[in-house]
Amino acid sequence: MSLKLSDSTISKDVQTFMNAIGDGILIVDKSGVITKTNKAAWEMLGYKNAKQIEGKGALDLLKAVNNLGKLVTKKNAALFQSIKEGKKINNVIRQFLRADKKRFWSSITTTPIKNKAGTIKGAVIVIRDITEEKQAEEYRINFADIASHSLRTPLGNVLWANEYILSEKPGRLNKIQKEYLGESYKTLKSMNTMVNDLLSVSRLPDRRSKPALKKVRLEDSVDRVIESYDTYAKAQNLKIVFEKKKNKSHFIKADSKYLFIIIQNLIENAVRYAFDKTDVVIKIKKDGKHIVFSCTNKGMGIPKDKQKFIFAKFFRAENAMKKQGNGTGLGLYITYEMIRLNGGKIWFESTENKETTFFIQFNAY
Amino acid sequence: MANNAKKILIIEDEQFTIKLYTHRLEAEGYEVTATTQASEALRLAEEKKPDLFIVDLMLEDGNGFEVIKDLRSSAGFKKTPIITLSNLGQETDVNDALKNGADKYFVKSNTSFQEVIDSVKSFLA
Repeated sequence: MSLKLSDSTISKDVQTFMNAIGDGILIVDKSGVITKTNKAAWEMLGYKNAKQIEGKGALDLLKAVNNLGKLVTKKNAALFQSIKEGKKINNVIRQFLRADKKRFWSSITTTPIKNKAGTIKGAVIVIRDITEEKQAEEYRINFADIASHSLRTPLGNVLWANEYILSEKPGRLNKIQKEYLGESYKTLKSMNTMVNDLLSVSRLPDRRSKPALKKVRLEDSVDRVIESYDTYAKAQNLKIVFEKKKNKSHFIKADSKYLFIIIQNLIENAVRYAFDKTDVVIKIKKDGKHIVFSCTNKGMGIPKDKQKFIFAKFFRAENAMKKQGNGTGLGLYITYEMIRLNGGKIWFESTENKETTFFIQFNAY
Repeated sequence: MANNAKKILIIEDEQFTIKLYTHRLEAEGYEVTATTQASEALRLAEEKKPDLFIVDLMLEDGNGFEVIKDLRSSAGFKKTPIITLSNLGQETDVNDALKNGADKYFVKSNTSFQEVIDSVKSFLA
């Protein structure tokens, strides 16, 4: 089948075929003017028939907004890249403007149309309405936030009350009271870890969605996590040492809402499984186009035969279970997934009962 | 209680948390006042002139971010220590609270009771 873009030679059969497709299809010529459309495209864009949109400039009509809510410039428009550079652009998430000025979420694919000589004659735009999927994702994230607050509040209060009574500041406890309360405190701590991990898992975005990557100074995020773990580390006779040069900055591309959890999980693990009176050492260095974060502890390490399972969901090595009974085996899985979403890599080097270093490679900004 | 006792104002929507901290902090010799309402916070602050605030971020009638901002805009509390206690643990929440003027941020479920008490004592030492 050959498509001529400048006239109305698309046969009735082809039009019927196009109208039967659920995704919106717009064919544009090389100057970006819409020449052909299907029924799904008119309906998605809020028009009654082809005449209302054919003959108009696609970029003027669609007015795309990106994942972060910013208007997409002509240069960055998928359509423009297909027409000017001959690139096929797959599944870019955009919001488009409907005729009634309301916006809808869509996944857009643009494919250049070339003649036999390879000259670009126009492009085909396929628009899939993903508003419902986006709403479901937002609902899931909102649910996680509400559940997070509702579950953590009572749990936190009971934990604090137990800790206070166990400290015997309000009054002396007898042996049995102390033993039973100590056991319930441990169980509650374990539940608390579980709730935190499950909420982090539920916050992981859909595998197809893209994180909001922006410029982040890695030193700032690390400092913030260290600040919140310093007391915890001191209580275990450990020191967190961040080896950084004064005024030196390493900027990375990352979604800050995940970055905090990533760094937090690695530092928490390093502190949790370290030997007493040792240092947890954190370093950041540049490696070509990448920035590498590392976190080293001296401790039990990861047994060689278990290393391949370390990022699997719910996996916990036996030595870790003996030292810390209250883990869920979700922390490193969450970390791995979040790093993957940020376009980074994670790996480790570990010698059992000696030293373990986790590395994360981020893209430099 | 001695008249020169350091004063603390707790702005927190959970009555149980208020009770727990009031009991413990009073045992340390501090004078504690509390409210669950964001709208009451500034009035109580002006009246009691506390030496330290403990502020939750989700309150019955508003949010703690605004309370912190209001306190920092008031001439009398530009430098009074503010400890934020919240179950909101996203980095944006921490950043927003610190940007608005909080001195310390604790995520409730990641923090022990004693850590908060130690922090209060160190600010008021």
